[in-house]
Amino acid sequence: MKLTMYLAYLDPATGSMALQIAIGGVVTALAAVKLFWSKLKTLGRKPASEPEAAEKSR
Amino acid sequence: MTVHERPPRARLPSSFRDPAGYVFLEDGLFKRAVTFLGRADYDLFRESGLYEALVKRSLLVPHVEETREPDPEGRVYRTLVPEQISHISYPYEWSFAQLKDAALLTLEVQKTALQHGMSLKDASGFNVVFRGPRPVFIDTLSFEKNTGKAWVAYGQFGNHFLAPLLLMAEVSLELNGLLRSHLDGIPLELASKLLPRQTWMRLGPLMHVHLHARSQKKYAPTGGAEARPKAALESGPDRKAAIVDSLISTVEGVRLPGAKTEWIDYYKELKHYSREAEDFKQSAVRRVVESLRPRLVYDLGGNVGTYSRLVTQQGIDCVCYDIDPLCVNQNYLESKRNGDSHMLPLLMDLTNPTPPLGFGLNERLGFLDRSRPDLTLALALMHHIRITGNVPLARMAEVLARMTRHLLIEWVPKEDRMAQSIMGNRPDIFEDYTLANFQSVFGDYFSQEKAEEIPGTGRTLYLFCNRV
Repeated sequence: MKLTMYLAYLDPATGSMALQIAIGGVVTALAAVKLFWSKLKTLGRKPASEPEAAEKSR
Repeated sequence: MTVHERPPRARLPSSFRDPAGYVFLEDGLFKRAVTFLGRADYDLFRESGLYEALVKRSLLVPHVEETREPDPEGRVYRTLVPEQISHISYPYEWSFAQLKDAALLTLEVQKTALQHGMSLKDASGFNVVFRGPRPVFIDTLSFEKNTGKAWVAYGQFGNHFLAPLLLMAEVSLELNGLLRSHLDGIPLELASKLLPRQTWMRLGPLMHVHLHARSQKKYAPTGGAEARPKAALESGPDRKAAIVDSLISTVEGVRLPGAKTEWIDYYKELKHYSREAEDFKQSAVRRVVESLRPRLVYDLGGNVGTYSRLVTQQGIDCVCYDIDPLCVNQNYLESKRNGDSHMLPLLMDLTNPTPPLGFGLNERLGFLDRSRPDLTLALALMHHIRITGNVPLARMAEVLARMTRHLLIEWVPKEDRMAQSIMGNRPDIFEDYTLANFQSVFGDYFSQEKAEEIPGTGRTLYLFCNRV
């Protein structure tokens, strides 16, 4: 079994930076889809009429 | 005494990593010094409005700046006096929900920092503490000007938060214990090995743990410095906000399966107490708290916080320790829901409590090195410590005396049904477990103030006061 010395000479920071570049496109696209979806849901919702809204805010 | 004649400030042993500042104790208050190396970022932190934005939403502990002049010889630019936290706790003492809330707090802090042109330069779990059942960020100097394209603390966030949360949810709740052995968080390569295969099928764990671990391995020095994508790191769009959003979704998606532990329904299924005995015990605890008016109470083996709540209802801070991670979790969630700002539930095995840890063994404090409670409750506990933990009564008395001023302890005789059930089929090697010996060994350290029998149980509540 291979044992990894986690403290010895490992430079995890570069790997973490590199991964952010690699997944940057995916997470940005997902964020855009999420935003689009939430806007779509807001548009799809029937806006409350003025008297109803006033009632709710009491 | 002028500013320059002041004695050199003694840094806390835990405060040595960040050249931008350090924490020290002065006049009984924890203070934070900002060095001249941290000046530019601290000024930006204040001028950008980030400090106000974080404090307004209770995400960051507030502070006041001391009026003393900058001290160039001491390399101190500013001295901050933050709101003092009554009890420090560590990530390996938190339940799943506490660690998850601390993770989400860290991400919310980073999101807010990005909106103000700054970014977190570290994402350590030790930057968060709990004020009652609410996490708060304490490291005022963790912010730097947002310049790079990637988040420098992304890896550390995975080590300190995402890896342990996934391991607790997917493998075992007990794996938060790995945070005790790995003070800078659980290595992602280790987490990736331990997590079940199905986590490869979920986008968040796949990206932020499994592929992340592979990437860290790939760019380890065996590949040579030339293999590092330095140019790529400095170009392209800023990905931090999208990475933080993705981490928020991933952390929110980590949920505990419907697990049950030995003690989670202890009070619900309570059969060894009659209603009368239970009412008597609750009333006795209330009376002791009312008469002593302690500043801080420990409830040892407090389960889901039933008796701790009798303390916090009187506006008194209580740290409720239990060995069962689901009990601590339930207590935390209930206290949070009820807005019980005086309750702090923490995970603790009293037969093997948190030791002092870290460099010099004084970076992180041990269980006995922190607050000293004015009152400790040890209700329905001693038979567990004596029989299950095999700790002699004399040792129990000695350790409790090191911990507390007053002690309300429930004497549970060996013949008690619950004590017998713990004993099971093992031979009775507990010769010291007698009432006479209990009174004698506790009498070595404490004076007895009160003894009240709990009706119909054979048990007795003793109130002791420390002789020291």
